[in-house]
Amino acid sequence: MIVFDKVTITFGNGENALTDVSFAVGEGEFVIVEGHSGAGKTSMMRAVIKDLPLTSGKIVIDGDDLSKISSKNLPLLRRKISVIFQDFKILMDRTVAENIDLALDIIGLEGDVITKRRTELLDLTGLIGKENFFPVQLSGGEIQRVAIARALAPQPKVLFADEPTGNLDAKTGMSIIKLLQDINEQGTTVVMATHDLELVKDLKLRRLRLDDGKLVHDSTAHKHHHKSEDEKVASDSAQTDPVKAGKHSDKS
Amino acid sequence: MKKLTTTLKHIRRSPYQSVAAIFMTAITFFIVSIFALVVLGAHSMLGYFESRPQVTAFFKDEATMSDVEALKTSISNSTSIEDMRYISKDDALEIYKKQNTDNPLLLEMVTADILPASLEVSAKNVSDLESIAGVMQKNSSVEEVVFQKDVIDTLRKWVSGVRVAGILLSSLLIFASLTTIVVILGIKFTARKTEINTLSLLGATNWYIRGPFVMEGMIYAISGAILGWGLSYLLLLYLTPNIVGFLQEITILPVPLWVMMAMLGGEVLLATLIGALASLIATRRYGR
Repeated sequence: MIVFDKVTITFGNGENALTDVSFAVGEGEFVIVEGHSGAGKTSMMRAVIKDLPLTSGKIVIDGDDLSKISSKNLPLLRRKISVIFQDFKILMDRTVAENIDLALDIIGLEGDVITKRRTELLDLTGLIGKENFFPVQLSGGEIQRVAIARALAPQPKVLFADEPTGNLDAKTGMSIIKLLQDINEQGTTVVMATHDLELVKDLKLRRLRLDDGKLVHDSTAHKHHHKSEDEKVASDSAQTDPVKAGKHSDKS
Repeated sequence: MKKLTTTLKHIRRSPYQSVAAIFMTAITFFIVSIFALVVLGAHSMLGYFESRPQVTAFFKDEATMSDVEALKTSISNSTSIEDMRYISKDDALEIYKKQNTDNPLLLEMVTADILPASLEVSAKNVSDLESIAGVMQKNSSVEEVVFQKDVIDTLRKWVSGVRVAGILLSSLLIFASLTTIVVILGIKFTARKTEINTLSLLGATNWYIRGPFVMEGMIYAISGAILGWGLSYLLLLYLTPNIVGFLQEITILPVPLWVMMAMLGGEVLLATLIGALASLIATRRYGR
């Protein structure tokens, strides 16, 4: 579903945001990208929606090489891959419902279909009853849920969540992660970036660790290295299919 | 419909900027309408002069009908004419009376004797006027020849001048309107940069983002055009009685409604182009 092939992103000042990063994420996987602030997590997110140009390397999403997607077709890519932004990017002068409707309107839905889909999203994210609230009237966790609901509006194949628990307390953070897991169980590939290692330490999910723009650890590869021979055989068979690999790591 | 709702919301949120854009466009189209009406009127006047007797020969008091007939024959033989009409002293008095019905003092002072008989000749081509005037002037029974070619030439120069001045001034004002809309929409576009960036990241197409701005520009320009046209029409209706009195028998007023509606149609079309162009320029950075 997602392939990073020796991706390097260099900023104008010569600093590398990502250096030679390669990994693959299978369909239906839930992957955590961890690393300290400035490790390159946000750059990775921005790169997959072509909000940041690559200096070298290649990103392939659902079979599409991003470098070959024209600016005209960029909106289609961005509807297929949704991002929950670290700063939410919620429109503060619009209500919860209007923020969600905006994403539904963009994909061309109208009237009753928008209302029906919005209700589903509000229900999924636990925001029923808050649809007429403005963002300033919501808690941090609720705003995060609005961002998730809006990101899910176009029914994306891949959901990138950039620090979705960043400004939340542990309990609220866990509820957001639980929500993302529910979304993942419904078939959406989820990639969650976080610097909060403590919060995700008990989650049995595949982890990619970034440090100073370099991929320094991939838990799938790590597990393979240490598994017993029997497990290795089973794991190897799954590894040939990234989908199985993802599902396997989710449930391990 | 959704885009129109969004556009109207944008307009409501910054009413002063919207008023400025509409005001500037209204002034532009008011001036455009005025010049268009003046040029149309001048053309009608030109047409009037060209279709009326352009050469008039006033006969001496002692001229007889045979002298008149002889002149008629010589004119007909020499040039192709549109119409030729003899006006006797009595006819001249009748015309004078009609023109001065509201001034009995003037009517009392004038009798048929002091008015000259005349021959009014209208040519098919203005270029034939000189030869007709030449034949008239050679005739011994003719006292004076009034030759309207100079009047027409002068009028033509005026019409041409007014048209050039109108085009220049209108072009300048259209440019000013275009710039005003570009600046106002540019400010609005920049002010909504965060929202636009979010829309783009959510997968909005180029037209989804720029559409409401293009529509906003067109609404400004079209509203201005209708307002400018309306003001010019009101002014025209207000001035019509005075102008009619001034022009007397030159009947170019009132301007037919279809002419005004055609002018409105043309101006709305021009405004649509101005509004669309201005908004495309204002949002061009996003389009790249």
